[in-house]
Amino acid sequence: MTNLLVWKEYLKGIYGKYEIYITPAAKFLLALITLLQINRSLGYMSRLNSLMVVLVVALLSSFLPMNFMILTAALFIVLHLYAFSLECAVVVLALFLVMFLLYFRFSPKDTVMVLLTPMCCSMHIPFLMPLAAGLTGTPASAVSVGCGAVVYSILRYLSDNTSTLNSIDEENAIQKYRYVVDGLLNNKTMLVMVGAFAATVLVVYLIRRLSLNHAWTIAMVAGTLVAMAALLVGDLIWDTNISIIPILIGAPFSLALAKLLQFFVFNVDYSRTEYVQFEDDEYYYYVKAVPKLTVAKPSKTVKKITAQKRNATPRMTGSMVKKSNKSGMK
Amino acid sequence: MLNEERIRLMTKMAAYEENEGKRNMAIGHYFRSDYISLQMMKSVISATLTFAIVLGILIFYDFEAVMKEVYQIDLMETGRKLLLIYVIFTGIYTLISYLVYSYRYSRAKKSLKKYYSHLQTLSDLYEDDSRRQEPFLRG
Repeated sequence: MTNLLVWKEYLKGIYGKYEIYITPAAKFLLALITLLQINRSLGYMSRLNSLMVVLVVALLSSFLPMNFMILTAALFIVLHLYAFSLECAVVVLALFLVMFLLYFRFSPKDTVMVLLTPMCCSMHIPFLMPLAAGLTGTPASAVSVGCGAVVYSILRYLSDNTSTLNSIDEENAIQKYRYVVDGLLNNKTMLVMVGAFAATVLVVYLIRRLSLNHAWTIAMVAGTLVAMAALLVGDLIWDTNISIIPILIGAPFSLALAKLLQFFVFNVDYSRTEYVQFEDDEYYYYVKAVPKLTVAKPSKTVKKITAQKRNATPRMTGSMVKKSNKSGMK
Repeated sequence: MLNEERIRLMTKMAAYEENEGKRNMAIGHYFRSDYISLQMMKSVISATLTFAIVLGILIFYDFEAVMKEVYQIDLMETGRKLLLIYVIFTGIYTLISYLVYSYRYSRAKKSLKKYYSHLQTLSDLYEDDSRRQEPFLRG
């Protein structure tokens, strides 16, 4: 455990020092994975499928604010659907607009959860986001994760029913439209997923706030159990077509990743390099404030026993050197 | 002469101004009632747009039935019902936004108060400095 903590301190220091490169690189990777995944699961518009377009957008996302990434992801989805059928694009665009108008106006930072939740779902680690939201966020994060589940479900519904939608005549637009809206309003799988995720966020949030030992770990385990139970019960009652086995396999992975996140990200005081400029009457100041790296190496106890040879009667002398090494590095 | 304590304080304050402070200062420029009423107005617009979008989707969903019945239904009665739903929906949404934004306003004010107290400390440090330099200037 001590080694892990030392390692964490090192990583924190590296992040603090090279934050200016690490954050854009992480954003670039996130945008790249998101867009590639959207192209893989929808991919109806051939122009957007080109790797060049994806790379350029991902590169732009790396230095623009986070919400640009969300906007482009939403735009990619709507454009792909538009190439597939106008009705699908209209319904999904309306859904995005309602989400933005009602909820994300309040908490623009939470929009990233709408991006990450569908991504985790398609990677078969669906519980990771509810767990992470419950650990870091507020009870309102349940709404964000719920919105993410809605987006995932509707996209899944559309990609699963491509052939059915294709078989409906172009002239019968209203029937097609109704089919898509049914997928949004009468989608039991979606309701069960949203309910399960929201319940998980709330349970995790409530338990991790308790003054218990290991409250965070208990919260994660309880959250995973609640999510699994809610999905199973929902499946039994409403006969949803949620495939339980991948979820059961993915649950321990979600749990392990949440634990890892807690260890590296949530449990530390997040520090980053600050570049600031200011002036007073006498000077201009260009300050680069780098967070201090203090690696607390484990205390060493050295015990050395030496025998003195010259004495007629051999006698043992023990010398004990206790060395405590706490070094500060910059 | 460079004063380390002062630079440390100024750095902290500049970092605050760049990150969290930017949003709080934007809120702090308003009076409480102005800020909250502006946000509530935005909420009413948001709620109205949402209501229009959802209504549009639902009408289009049952388009054939709506077109068939449009001459038979009591338009006034339907209009009244829709208006009632709209008022209730907008009312609840605006109430929630009122609670959220009044909480945010008080939080921003509290944070700015701390920032202003740092400003005061900074100005005290400058005064100390100038007082210390005065005898040399006179001498």
